[in-house]
Amino acid sequence: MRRTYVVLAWVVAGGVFVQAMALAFGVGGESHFIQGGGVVDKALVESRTADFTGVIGFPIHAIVGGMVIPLAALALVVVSFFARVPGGRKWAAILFALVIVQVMAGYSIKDLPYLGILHGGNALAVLLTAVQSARRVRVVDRSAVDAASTRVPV
Amino acid sequence: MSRSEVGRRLVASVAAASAIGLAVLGWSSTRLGEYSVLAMGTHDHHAPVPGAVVDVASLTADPTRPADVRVRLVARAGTVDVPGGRPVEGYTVNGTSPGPTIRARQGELLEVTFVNESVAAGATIHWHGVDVPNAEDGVAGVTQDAVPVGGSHVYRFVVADAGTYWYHSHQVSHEQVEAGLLGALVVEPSGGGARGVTDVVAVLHLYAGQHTLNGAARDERVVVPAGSRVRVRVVDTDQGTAAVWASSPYRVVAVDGHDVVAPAEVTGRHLLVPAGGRADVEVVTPAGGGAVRVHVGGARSVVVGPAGAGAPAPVPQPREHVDLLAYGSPAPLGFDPTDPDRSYEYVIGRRPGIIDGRPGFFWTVNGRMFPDVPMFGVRAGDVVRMRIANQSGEVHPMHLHGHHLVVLSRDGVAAQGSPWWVDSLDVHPGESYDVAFVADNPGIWSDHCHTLPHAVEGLVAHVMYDGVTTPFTINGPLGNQPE
Repeated sequence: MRRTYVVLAWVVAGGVFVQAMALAFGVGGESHFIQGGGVVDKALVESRTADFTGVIGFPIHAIVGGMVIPLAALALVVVSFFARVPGGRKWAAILFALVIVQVMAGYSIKDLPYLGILHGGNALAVLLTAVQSARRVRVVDRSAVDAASTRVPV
Repeated sequence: MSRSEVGRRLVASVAAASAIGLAVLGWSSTRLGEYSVLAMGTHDHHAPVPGAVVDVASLTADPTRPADVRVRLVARAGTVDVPGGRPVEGYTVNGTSPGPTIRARQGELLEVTFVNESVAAGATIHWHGVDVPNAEDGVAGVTQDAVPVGGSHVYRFVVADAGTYWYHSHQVSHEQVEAGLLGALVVEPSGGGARGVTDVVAVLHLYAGQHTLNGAARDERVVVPAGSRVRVRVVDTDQGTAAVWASSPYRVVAVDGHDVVAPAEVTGRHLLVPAGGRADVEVVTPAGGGAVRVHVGGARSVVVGPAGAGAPAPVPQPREHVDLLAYGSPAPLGFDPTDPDRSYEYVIGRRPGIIDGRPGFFWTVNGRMFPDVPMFGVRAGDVVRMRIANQSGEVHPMHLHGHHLVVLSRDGVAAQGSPWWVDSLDVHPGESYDVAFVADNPGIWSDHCHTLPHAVEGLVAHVMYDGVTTPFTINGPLGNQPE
């Protein structure tokens, strides 16, 4: 269970990396497309037929952000009740809350563009919290080993 | 392993198996199978229907009246030639896409023989914005069966209102419309168009990511004398809003086939045309010569002016838009919407769920997901009010078949301009529109989002008249799939 906890936490952390890469790829490709005279308007966006280099970054961002990361964060909360990780539930809960904020901000950006500032900043909070959660296990493991070794009479 | 440990594992296994079983059961219950729209959702009015039940197929134009205009449309699957761009695989009507522009005069009876030569999934023709009798509405599985390869179907209806309309398939429409099974329909006033006004049709469509104007991936040049009035009929056949603006002042003379009363000159603003919507804008070329550029959509322009006049450089899109809620002058509506016979809400939301066995993030109507969305029951003659509210994060161009809605207010602010009659209305996130219509066209009418992939994702409800029934089904052996 602790292994599962660690894996899930790293899935969230890795997901944030994928998100940053996918978005930069998409925006970069879109800028390149526009530089070449391409037009991005509502018709193109809604048709889902844009085919410039990097456009794959947008659906990746949507799937990883809308499905993979939230499901991993939710699973982490569930697993935290069974994995004996000190502080595990607390960190899983914080991470899940941050992910919820992130997803809601993401879906509302088109409506309220200022949420982009929160979405970008909160992404790093998700990353740090995920790493912190994953490292709980390693830190705890080491202290357990230390505790055990001190108990062994020399 | 102790006995209690074994017991606990047994209980856990049974619980897990039950949970999986319930999940599978829950999933399979979302499978739609063959269904009739009659079985959809919750009927708000279950009043017993006195008298005979009317079949949608019987709701036709006068069958004894001879046609004034006859047209034959042949749909084919194949390569669509895109002048100025690259050819794409799609659908053509009479060999091209868009298909031919059909022209008729107000009050004439139009008879269209539609032939499906090679569209494998079957096809239909829906007359977008024309308030046709229900049998002619062209919605596969609701008002007819999709026309199979080798089959044909005759549509007959009177074009009662002059204006700009379009036609498109309403079978697997998100795919067939995008791939080009469409064309324009122009209904001229019975006395002919305004004298001295040049008429230009501007059909906007994306073919595999290529922005086109009347099927060509380039601007269009129209030669008119200096000082001419030009009416540009913009038809947005795409999945999203199109912006229109010009290098000189313009007037919005009609919206969705209804003239605007006393349209003022617009400068420094763009006009938004919803997906599926039409807008006629009029410009006047300078008396001293020179041309006018009318930007239609983000990528294309119509340039009008005398031969040899240089095309004006593209002008940046103005930041503000024309608000049709307060454009033109008020005029009588012809009915009283203040004391409606029926009042409905059409609240759009979004949440995760499963439709037809497919998990996803789906649209909801009044908090419920397809096919459990409301059925808006009406009786012939009713004045119906509807509040369309968008609580999702995306724009929805809401399209009601067979009727025109008049906008009464937006976010509580009453309409102050010319009566704003629409069949396709963009409702932005957080907005709420109060609209009204007279139920004067019996039938079963789709009321859906015209960003067609959204309709596939469940943003479809129906207005159903008491006593009307349909023999057609969706997802059955005939393969009817309207969205």
